[in-house]
Amino acid sequence: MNETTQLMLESAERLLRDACPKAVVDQVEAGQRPDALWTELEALGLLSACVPEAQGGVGLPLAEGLTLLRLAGRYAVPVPFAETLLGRALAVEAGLPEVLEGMMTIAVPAVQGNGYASVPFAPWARWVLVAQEAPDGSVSFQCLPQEQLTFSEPRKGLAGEPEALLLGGAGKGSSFSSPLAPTLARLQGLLALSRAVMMAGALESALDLSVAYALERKQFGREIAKFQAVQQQLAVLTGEVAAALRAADAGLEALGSPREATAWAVAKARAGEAAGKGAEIAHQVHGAMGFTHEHQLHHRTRRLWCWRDQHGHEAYWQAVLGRALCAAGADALWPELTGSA
Amino acid sequence: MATALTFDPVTLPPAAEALRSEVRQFVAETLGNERRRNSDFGASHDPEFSRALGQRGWIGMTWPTKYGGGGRSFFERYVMTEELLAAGAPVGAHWIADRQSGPLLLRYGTEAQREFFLPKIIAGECFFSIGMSEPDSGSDLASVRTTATPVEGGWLVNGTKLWSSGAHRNHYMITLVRTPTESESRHAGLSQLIVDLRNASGLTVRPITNLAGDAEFNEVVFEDCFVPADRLVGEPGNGWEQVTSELGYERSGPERFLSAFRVFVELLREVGPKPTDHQAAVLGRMAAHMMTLRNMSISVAGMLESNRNPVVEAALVKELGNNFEREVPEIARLVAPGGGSALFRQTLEDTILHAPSFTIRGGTREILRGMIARGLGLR
Repeated sequence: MNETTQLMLESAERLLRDACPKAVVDQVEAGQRPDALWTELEALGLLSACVPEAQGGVGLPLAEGLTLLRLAGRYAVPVPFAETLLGRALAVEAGLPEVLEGMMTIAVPAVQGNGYASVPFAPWARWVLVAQEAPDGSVSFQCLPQEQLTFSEPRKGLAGEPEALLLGGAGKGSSFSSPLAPTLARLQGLLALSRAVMMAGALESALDLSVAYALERKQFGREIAKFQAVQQQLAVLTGEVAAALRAADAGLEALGSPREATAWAVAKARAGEAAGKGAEIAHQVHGAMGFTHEHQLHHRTRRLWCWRDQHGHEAYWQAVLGRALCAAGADALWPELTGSA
Repeated sequence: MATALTFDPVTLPPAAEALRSEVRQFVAETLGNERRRNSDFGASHDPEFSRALGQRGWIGMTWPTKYGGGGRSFFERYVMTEELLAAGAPVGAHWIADRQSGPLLLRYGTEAQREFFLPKIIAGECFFSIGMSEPDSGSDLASVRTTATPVEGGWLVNGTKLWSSGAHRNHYMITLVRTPTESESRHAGLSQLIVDLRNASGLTVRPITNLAGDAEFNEVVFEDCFVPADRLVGEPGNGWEQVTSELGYERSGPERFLSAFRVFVELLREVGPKPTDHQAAVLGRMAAHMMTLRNMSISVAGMLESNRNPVVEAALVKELGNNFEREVPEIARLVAPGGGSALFRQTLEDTILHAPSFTIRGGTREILRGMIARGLGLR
C-alpha cells in the first residue's frame, strides 16, 4: 500500500468515526439524504481518490483506492461510496468536468437474468453512469443527470438504503468508453470486488462489536465471554472474518494481473459466504439486544445481507469458477488453483 | 481490531516458483503418472521416497547449511510440501522430523545433538515420532504423567505414550516427560527426551488399529527405560515452552487443507467438462475456499520467514483448513454423478474413513478455537 493511501485510510477512519455515527445511518434509513456526511467525504478527497490529479482528484491507482471501501463496510457508510469512487474513475473519460462532482451511481446490466441491476441510491444521485454492452461484450458509458432517466418507484433494500430500477431514458446522446472497464465482464467484476471489500469491512466491525459485547454482558454472574460455548462461536466468526479479509485483499492485489477475474470471483464468493455465517454468529452472540433497532449491529449485518447478493451472489461466482475448472479438467485442477499452469 | 486477522499479502519469490516445476518433474519421474490417492502425512510411509527427497536436498530445506540443510526460505519449503501433498506423494516417513523435530533441535538442542541428528534427517534416513499424548492426557497436555527419574548417566522413564504415529517403524521419538521440580505449577517440570525406538530396553511399542483398519499409531509403554543424559532436549523443566513452539510449526502448513485434495481432483474427473449449475457452484465453492486457505497459509509462511511466532494465525489456518477437508468428501458423495470410477470410490471412501482424525490430530478443533478466543482477549 502506498503512503498516500495509508494516510487517506487513517484520516478517513478518523473522519468516519465522528461523521458517520449511528444517528446518521438511522437518518438515511428514515429517508433523509446525508448531505453533511457527503460534504465531509468530498472535502477529504475520498470520492475522487481514483481521479487523476490533473482533474482535481487524488490520483490513486484503482487497487489502492478500492481499499478505502473497507471503511464503507466498517462504518456502514450510507452513501454510494463504491459507485462514486469507481464511477468517477470511469467518467474521467467523458471529458466533462461537471460529472466529477456530486453523488454518482452506476446502472449496470445484471450478472444474472435480463436487464439492469437495481440501481443503488438512484433517487438521490446527481449523476447516473449507465453502462451499455455491445454485442461483442465491450461496454460504452453515458454519464447522465439523474432527472433525465426514468426510474421505478424507489424502494428500500435490505440495507435500508434507497434503490430503483432503471426504466428508460438512456441510449440517446454521446457515449464514451474507459480503459478501466473495456468489457462488461470487467465492470461487473470490479463491482463484485467492491462488495467483497465492503463485506470484509462490515465483518471486521461485526466481530469487534461481538467481542466487546461478550466482554461486557454478564449472565450467571460472569461475562458471557467466559463461557466456552460463546468463545467457540467467536472463534468461528474470527475464521470467517479472516478468510473474507484475505480473499478481498487478494482480489485487490490481483487487479491488473492475468488472474484478476478468478481472484474477484473467489473474493465475492468467499466473502459472501462469510457474510451469511458471520452475521448469524454476531447476532447469536448479541442475543435479543442485537435484534433491536437501537443497537448498531444491524447496520453492519443488514449491509452484509444486501451486499452478498449485489453483483452476483455466492452461487453465481462459485459456478463461474466451477465451470472454468471443469473446462480445464481434473489434471489441471492444481495448476489452476495455484496459478502455475 | 484483532491482530490475528492480519494475514499480510505474500507473493511467492521466483526461487520458490522455480522450485515448483522441479518438484513436479521429480514427482512425475519418481512416482510415474498413475493417478494417486491422498497423500496422508500420517500414513504414507515410504522410506525410499524420503531418501530420494533427501538426495534432492528437499528435507531440512530451511536449516543452516553447516548441518547439511538447504539454507532456503520458508516459501521454498512451502511450495515443495504443497506440490508433494497435492500430487499424493508418500511423505509420511520423514514428515514429522522435517516439520518439527529438526526445527526443535535447531532451536533448543545441543550442538552435539544437531550434528548427530540433523544430517541423518536431511538425508531422509532418520524418522521421528511424536510422544506427547497419553491415555489420560490428550487435549490437556500439561497433565502428562510419564516420568523421567535422574539416574547415573541419564534418566529412567516410566509411563505410557499414546497415538504416536509411526513409532513402530521410526527411529526416534521426542517424548514429553515429567522431571523433578520444586514448583507447583502444572507447566513446570516438563522436559523432552529423544528416545531411541529401535535400541532401548524397557520399551514396548504396540500398534493400534484405527477404524479404517490401518495400524499407524501406537501405544508406547516405558518400563524403567533408560535414556542417556545427552538425549535431553533443551533445559530440564523447559518442556512446556518447547512443546508449544513445536506445535506452532504443526498447524499452518498445506497439510491442514490438502488431506482430501485427491477427492476434489477425482470428483472433477467424475463431473467432466459439462457440469450442471449446481455441480459447478459446489466445485467453485471448494476452489474459493482452497485458494483463500492457501493464501492464508502462505502468509503464515511469511511470518515464519520473518521469525514471528504466529500462534493464533496458525490456529486459524488449521481451524478453517480442517473444516474444509472434512467437508470435501461430504460434498463429493452428493454431487458425483453416481457410480464412479474405482479410483474415485476408493479415494472417497479412504477419506471418509480418515476424516474424523483431521479435526483431532495436531490439536482438536475445540482446543484451537480456545486458542483463537484467547487471541481475541476473551480468556
